[in-house]
Amino acid sequence: MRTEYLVKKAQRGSKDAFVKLIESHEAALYRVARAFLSRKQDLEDAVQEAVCRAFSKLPDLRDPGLFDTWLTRIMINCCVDLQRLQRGSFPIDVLPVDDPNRTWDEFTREEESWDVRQALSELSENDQLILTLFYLNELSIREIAQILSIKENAVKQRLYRGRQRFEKIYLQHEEEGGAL
Amino acid sequence: MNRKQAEKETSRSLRRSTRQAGAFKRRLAEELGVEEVPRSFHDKIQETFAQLPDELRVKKKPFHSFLKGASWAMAAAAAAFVILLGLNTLSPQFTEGLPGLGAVFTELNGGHTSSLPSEPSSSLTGSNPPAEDVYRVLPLVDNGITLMDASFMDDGRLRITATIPYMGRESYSLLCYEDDTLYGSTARLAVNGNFVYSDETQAPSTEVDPSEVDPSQGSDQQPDETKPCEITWYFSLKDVGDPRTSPVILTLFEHPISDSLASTNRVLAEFAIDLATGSAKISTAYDDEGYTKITPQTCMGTDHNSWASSPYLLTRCNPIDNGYYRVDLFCAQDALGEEVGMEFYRYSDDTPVGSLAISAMSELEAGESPLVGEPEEITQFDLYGSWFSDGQSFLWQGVTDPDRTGIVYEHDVFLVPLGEIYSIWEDSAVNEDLVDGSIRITLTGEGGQFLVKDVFQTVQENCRNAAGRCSTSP
Repeated sequence: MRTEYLVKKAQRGSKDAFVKLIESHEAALYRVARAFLSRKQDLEDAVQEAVCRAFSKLPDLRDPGLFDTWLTRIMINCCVDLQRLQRGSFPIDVLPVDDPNRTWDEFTREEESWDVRQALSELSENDQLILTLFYLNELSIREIAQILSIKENAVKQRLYRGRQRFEKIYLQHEEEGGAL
Repeated sequence: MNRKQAEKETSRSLRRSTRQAGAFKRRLAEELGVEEVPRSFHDKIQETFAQLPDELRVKKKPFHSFLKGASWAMAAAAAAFVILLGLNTLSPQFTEGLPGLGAVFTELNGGHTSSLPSEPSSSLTGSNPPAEDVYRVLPLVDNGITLMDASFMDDGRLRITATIPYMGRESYSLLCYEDDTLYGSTARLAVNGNFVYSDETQAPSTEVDPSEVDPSQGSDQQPDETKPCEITWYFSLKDVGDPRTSPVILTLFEHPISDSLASTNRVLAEFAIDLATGSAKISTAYDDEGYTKITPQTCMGTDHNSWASSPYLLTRCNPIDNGYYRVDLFCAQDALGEEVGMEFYRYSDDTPVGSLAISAMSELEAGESPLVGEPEEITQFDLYGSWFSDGQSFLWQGVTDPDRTGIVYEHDVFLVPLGEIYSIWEDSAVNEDLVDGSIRITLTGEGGQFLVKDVFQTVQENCRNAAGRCSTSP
């Protein structure tokens, strides 16, 4: 209800309402972008573009109740556009920079986390996206179906498959780690 | 607890957690590292806010303004009429003498004069054309797609028929291929807030019987290019309420709904259909959902640029990750049997000064390349490679274009290790050399003859040709 109120207020010209709207969706935007992009610079570029697009397009949104899915789709479009643009470039700063100030605990925690992130990165983008939208952004199956223009049953199938793959990949990494 | 026990416990824990959505959710958020938004991400948003204007654009609502104005006018008119009625009882001569309204009061007071002249009845064929934003009797055209008919069948299903004009074979890539079969565009119907997808799609009516294709003419045989391609969708509308109470929205997407990359879908056309009257108007409801409509310009940048009459059709020459180039080649039936290879040629003043065969090709075919492993891995490099998603081989997939030509194309995907080539020719400057043609990727036949001299240039030409035909928008 608060979102709808803020959308209507923003549509009457209030930038403050728009800022509040975006800030309340900041985490959701970040999670969606992470399903597509990994580089810090890319994430920032994509969200900047998404916020600008939302700002210029919000007055045209007819149903404030659709704001969540509408904003998610804009974020997805920005990520996909960025990926398309980048097909002609080869980033050289993808290697992690080792921080000499890290403690041993931080190091081991990050390494473990990286293993799982790697497992997740081996999932297809769509599986990652659907898992993120459903479990983390708490969108309903119906909303996800609407965003991705697929059937609700297809969303359910992919959720099931995504979870299975995640489990399989993660366990495989665990086993490989144990064998070393 | 030793390490092995700990690992087993972790595995068991994971199995348990993936079976419990709540636990899985927490674990996923934790492991993805997306529990907290990074400071830099937050700062970027704040920085963007600072760059935005102080106010959002306020959309004018002419209809609302009109209603508001009309309400005031009607209230004022009603008040004036009540006053005049009072005056009429006191002085009928005065009110009957009023210009315009005098006849009304004369009628009220005993009918001394003839009836008011009636307004001419409006007609669809009348001289006043209907405004743009009103419902029209079908057919209706949006973005080159013509909505022909929307009617209920005996079994209660809704049948919608549309036609897509034939704009050259390339335009067919706007339609959907699934399992090598053209079956039409993805259609979605919004009924009373519910989305319904077509449960059956009738193949285009202009299908060419493969038996009628003369093999001697090879891929040069052309279909009837003047005949539009007709597509019919069927919708089951159970449990969505009465579809006649409010207009339904038909949205046609460029990709099939089963496409693994549906998130990149764009809209081909959208219609609001009033099933009570059988009329329709063009809709832009897709805009609310954040979709964009495909245009000739956006088509240019996509892979929708495919079928041509050449036995060797190249549809893509794009860099992908890890310094590899991907080249998509479709070989028509009459070209099969020719062992196709690729070579790099260096040119100076349009004269080849050096060549390098891509010796890794056999390794790629054997799946021994470091890039090419399980098909599922490859999908990560390719946003559009739905042919990979079924876990089949990444090379030599047959693609049929039966609806127009009956010709079977075999689809090769060459993953070219461009990085290796440049490491050999160290003075090369990657993309620029491809663009200016000083380095060319060349498709060669078994005898080393050129089949396609400049792959990059050919792909660009294919794209340009397709862009000119992929929409009929004026």
